[in-house]
Amino acid sequence: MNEPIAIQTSNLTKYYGKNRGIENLNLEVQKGEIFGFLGPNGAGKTTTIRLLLDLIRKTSGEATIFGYDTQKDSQKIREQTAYIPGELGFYKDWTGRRTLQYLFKLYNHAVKWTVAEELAQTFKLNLDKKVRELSKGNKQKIGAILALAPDVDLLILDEPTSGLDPLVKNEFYKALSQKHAESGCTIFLSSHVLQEVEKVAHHVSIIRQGFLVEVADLSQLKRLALKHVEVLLASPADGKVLKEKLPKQLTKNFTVEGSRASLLANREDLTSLLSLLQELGFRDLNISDSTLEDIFLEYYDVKANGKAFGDKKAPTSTPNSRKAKRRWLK
Amino acid sequence: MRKQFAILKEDLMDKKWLLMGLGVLIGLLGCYVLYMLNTMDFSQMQAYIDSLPDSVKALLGGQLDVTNPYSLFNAYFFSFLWLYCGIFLVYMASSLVSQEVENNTIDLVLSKPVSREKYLTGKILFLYVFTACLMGLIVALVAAGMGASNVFIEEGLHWERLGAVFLTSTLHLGTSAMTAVFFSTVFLSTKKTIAASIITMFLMFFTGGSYGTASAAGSNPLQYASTWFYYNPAQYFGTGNFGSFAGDVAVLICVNVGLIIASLFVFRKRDIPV
Repeated sequence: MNEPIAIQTSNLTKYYGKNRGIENLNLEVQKGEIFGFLGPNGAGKTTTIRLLLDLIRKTSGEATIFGYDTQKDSQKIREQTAYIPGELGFYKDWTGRRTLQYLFKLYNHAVKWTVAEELAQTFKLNLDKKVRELSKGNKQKIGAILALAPDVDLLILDEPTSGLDPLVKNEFYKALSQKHAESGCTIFLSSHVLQEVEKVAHHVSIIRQGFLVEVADLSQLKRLALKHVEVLLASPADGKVLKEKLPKQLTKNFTVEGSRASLLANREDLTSLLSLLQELGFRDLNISDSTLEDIFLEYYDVKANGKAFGDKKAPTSTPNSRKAKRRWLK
Repeated sequence: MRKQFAILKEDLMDKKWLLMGLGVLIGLLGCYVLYMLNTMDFSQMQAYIDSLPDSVKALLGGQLDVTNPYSLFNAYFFSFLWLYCGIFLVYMASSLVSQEVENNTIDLVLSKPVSREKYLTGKILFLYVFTACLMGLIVALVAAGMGASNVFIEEGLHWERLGAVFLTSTLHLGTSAMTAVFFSTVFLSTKKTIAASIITMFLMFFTGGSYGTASAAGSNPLQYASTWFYYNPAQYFGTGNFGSFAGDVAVLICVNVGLIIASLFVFRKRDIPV
């Protein structure tokens, strides 16, 4: 437990028959950090998490948590771990209270019930309702309590906020940050939404099609975040003018159709873009978060058929991959 | 054992009304059969049996002594316990693990410090407790019915026969349930498990049950591989013959233990699918 590294994987590989789950995954999560594990659906996030928790068995490679082998010492690891699965299943005829009490009883250490009650109050969750009567969001809240109430050293959260409304999402991340500040636990947070992870994570890794493609810290991460800008111009002719006046880095993903234009912009470029639009004049404007696929297309030269880094085989990162090349910084 | 008992307790809480309902219903059915026996004319039935062709008598030979209420009650009631309880138990055992996989609830349990072995033994423990309680309820009601039956009082109340039926029926139903547990660890799918378990159950019945062995005139070597061959309430309850009792119990225990070991072995190797 005195290891400075919480999670370490070395060439971790999982194949489901002939289908690749993950391949040669090298990951290093420091103790006490919030680590975002990003990737689109089907990238291998859940496979990685299930390997770490010994719910599935590796094909090859090594994985340790707090220095313990994830397969041989899985019980020791799970005593110090709380987990929210991506596909959260419940005993539908049970109440939230019974579910939580049963699952907390399976730890060797006692879980303070008052903490669970407080969290239920924070999330405005009625623990005495049967699970089948709860909405998806409320079920997810039970999952959040399952992760946040036990006094453990590691939280593994697989898409913990899916199905939650924005207000509850904020409550959840607030509670998560509070838990981290109070206990100093390590948090491994998987998501496919970059903008959510960047609110809390110290480091992120990005996984795509079973390969790790990037590890970045918070400042680098913020540069990764793109905005999708859609603008309705005053006239179709303004599209051409806009394209000519756009800074070079914004023209790559610029498309115009009639008087409608759209582009991907880095946050740092938003101010100059808005000034330009103000100068030109526009009828409507919509700025939204981009998807991870947009980011892959922008930074990693990913083709529609999927391979990262052009047609070359996707690279595998090393434990030192934080220092590895970051094409988007150039 | 604390975690196994936690799993056992929750499963029992879930199924307590089912257990009581089924136990009381089948027990009352037994009482009704006992009541029918009170109204039967045994001498007329014997005359009817005597009138049957020898080949039919041979088929029934040793299985049905119509002058004896114990034998007749066994033929009407205990011989069909595998239908009354067995199919239901197989259905329940089939869904116990695989439904947790299908509903993803197993992830919540196995992500806690619970080994797969402890999880599965908790489920197995529940199945035995459920079966024993179910048989206990049925046997208790039958015992009450026997105690109130003039026919049985005249014949003599042999509680040890009822005890033997309780033990062997529990073990025999246990083998069916453990077969389902084994298949559920192989398939991790409720539908496939139920299909495989029910097919196995009927194959066992036809190869080792009294009908199968009688029709093959005792020459069928497959009968020794069937658990039905070692389940003989007709002997212990019907005629009070305990000659094969110890051997039958030993074999049934071995089959149960073998299936449990096989299930644990398979389950510890499996990936838990999403």
